[in-house]
Amino acid sequence: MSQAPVTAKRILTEEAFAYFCTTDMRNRPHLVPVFFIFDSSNCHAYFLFSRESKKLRNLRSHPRVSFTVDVRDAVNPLENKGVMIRGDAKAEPLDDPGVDKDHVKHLFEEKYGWSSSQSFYRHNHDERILVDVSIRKITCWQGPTFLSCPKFCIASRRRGGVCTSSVGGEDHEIRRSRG
Amino acid sequence: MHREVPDFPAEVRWLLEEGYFGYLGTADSRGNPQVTPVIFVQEGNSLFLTISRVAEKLKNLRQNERVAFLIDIRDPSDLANNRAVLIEGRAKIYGIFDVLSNLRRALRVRGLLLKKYPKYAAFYAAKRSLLPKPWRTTLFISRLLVEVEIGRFSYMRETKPLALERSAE
Repeated sequence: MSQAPVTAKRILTEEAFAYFCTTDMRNRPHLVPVFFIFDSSNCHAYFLFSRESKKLRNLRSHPRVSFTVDVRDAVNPLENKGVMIRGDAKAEPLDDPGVDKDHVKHLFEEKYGWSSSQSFYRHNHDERILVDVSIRKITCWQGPTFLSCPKFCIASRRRGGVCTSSVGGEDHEIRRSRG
Repeated sequence: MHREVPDFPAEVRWLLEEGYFGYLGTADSRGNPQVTPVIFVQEGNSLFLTISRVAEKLKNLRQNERVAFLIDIRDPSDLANNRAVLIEGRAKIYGIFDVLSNLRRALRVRGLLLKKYPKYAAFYAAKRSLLPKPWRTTLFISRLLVEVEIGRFSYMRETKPLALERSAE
């Protein structure tokens, strides 16, 4: 059985930084390291960006985004592993009644150990905007092996799910075994 | 002859030279982005890397030469104490004739890669026959040389952008 969903979920849950890529109106990529939360219950990722940041301007005009979370090994390339996400981003002011900000705040505090006394909604006097990324595609790799998994592989662990594996650039379909 | 680039601020020059992994952000012709980790070397005003011929980022580069390239250093003991430089520039894919017409530079880049990543080089040499073809390092057969010409850069420390400028353009 493929270990990709387990590996991907662990990386997305445990690693601190995501490398978040947006594009501007002229299709020029922009890339920054950011803190993030992956919520496996709904397969969404959450970010807090400054209202004036370039990435926020970019995703408002072009909501398709990509981010990568990885574990590096400086000795053995076979041990490099990571997850690349492609999804649709939506910027939501934290005072929007539709945002469950307490849940998101709890997730950030749990992961990064931010005390509740620290300002959560402001950073360097800038208002923070919650960015909700709905995940469309997950690509997971370890060394030369790539696994592209439908999001339910991670979100629900349901049996019989299908992963598409790409080993050496050749696509294969792997049907996860039942039982 | 090694070309020096004296006009980068020291903080940026250090990241360009010592940063071990970089992140390459590309986008297709419709602006759909993709970001992946890569290894790289700096040579003159450019960064060089090799990309597998079957990689999606190579398809993106054929459609859209604009790239973002981020190099960062993490501090595991203090997550806020990270340093990063974001390069924005244009990528050029080297074909056979590009390599032949820039042979000395291409050989210099190869030497820099071997010097910067000796453990990776040893690994690839030892495991070559076990690796899938797109992951091997044979130029043109498995990988293509890509140059990222450095256009603009931004330096970030402790998650905040800092204004640093080249001392001379």
